[in-house]
Amino acid sequence: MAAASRHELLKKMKSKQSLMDSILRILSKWIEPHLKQDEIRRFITKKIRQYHKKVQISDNEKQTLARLKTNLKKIGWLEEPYYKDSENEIDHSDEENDHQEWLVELENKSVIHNGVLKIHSGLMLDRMDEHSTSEYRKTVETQIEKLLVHVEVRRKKALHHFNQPLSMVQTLREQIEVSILFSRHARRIRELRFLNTALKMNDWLYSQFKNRKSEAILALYLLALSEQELSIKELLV
Amino acid sequence: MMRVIVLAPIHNSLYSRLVANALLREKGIELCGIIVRTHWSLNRLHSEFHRDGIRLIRKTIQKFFLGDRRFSQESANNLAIYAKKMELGFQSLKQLAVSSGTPYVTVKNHNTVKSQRFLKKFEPDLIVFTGGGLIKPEILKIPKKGVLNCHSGILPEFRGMDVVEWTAAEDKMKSVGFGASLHFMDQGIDTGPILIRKILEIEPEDTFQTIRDRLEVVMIELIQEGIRNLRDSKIECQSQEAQHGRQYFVMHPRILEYAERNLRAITSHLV
Repeated sequence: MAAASRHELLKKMKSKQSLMDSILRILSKWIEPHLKQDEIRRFITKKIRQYHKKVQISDNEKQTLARLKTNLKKIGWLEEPYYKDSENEIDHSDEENDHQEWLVELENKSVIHNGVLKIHSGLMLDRMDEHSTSEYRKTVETQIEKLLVHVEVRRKKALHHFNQPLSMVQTLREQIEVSILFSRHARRIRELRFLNTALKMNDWLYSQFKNRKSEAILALYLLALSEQELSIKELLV
Repeated sequence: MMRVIVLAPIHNSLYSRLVANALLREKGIELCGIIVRTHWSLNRLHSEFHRDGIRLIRKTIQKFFLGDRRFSQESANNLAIYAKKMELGFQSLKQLAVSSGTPYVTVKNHNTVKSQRFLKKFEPDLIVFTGGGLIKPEILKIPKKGVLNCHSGILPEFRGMDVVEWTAAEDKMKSVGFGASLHFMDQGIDTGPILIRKILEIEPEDTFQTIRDRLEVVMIELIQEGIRNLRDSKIECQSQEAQHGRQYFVMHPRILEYAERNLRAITSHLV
């Protein structure tokens, strides 16, 4: 008798739990949409096709698209790169002095001061992370870690205040550059925490691009998605 | 007599009730106060939703609609089973406080002036934190011995959130292990001096949920053990070096899938 009532209770609990799970799944899609791999692939493919139809593409966009296609080939989503690799691999190693100067100029030796981010932090840290010598390697890593904590603590509110007034598109550019930095840094040091944050950032940024609001920097966002997928391919195996 | 105050996240937290109940039964310990955060506060909802997103809705539904029944009936060990074993009769911390004559107060958050006044009035030797947000330095410095917290991961390696899942994602299930760490709180996130750590054995049927279920019981046992040792001056703490650990954050579903695969790879060998 007791066993039967326990069984009944378990059944009731399970049905309540599964009903709750279904409701939460629906809510989750609405409140916190997470991009799935096939969705990302479809999105990138569709947007690249749109670029092919465009008459005018800036040099910057061309470079970004070339790097995107190289990534897609590495991921296995593209048979042949559209551009030769040499065309999109820009060597920034000769800019080491500029990088050092940029680091020295940081207010309170931090890319973020009182919640305000120095512009080009994502881009500069990415370049320095790629080429930095051991002399200031630790400083670069400390700054990237600070950025990570800032984004994780402030979440969608992060990276909205810069040391200069920026337009919406410029702000988006800065955010995408930080996401790219995290994906690449994750691969460089084989650290999943950075990929984790890049994944979240790209999910948050998606709403800005799915409805073609920010066409001007779409190529950069596509690159960010491809950097994320490349890191997943290399790290989550 | 060592004077202890419990900080709780909500009046019906089973974890907090079990900790408070254990303290009431302990010789040489005086539970001299309970501070509970209020249910509904717009600021609290806002900050928790900002941090947890959809998980907050799950947590709220579970706490309000399922109560103690939210603990899996099929799990071999969890807080509900432990509560039965401990013959916990109290449905809320308020009931426990009234029945034992323990001073009780509700606050908007643990860092309010009201909370500070209560703590200063009852001059605890120790505070046991059982949840309820970040604790500011003004509170941390009130008790003579410090503020204790039990973290559901092995410190210093795994600080922060979702550390059970991160232990699997980082493939540290054997080298570091799933476990809990009792430590004093400081201004950082899980960076304070460590008192005790306990590693949990992985079982063949384990999922992240069953590991968490067992860990919660271990955490209560660690708090009891730590408090006894502090009372008897039998314990020394070990400070943490910042570089010996990492702070982890809420895990993205795609990394969670990978962590689950890693866990399955380990448990499938145990069958």
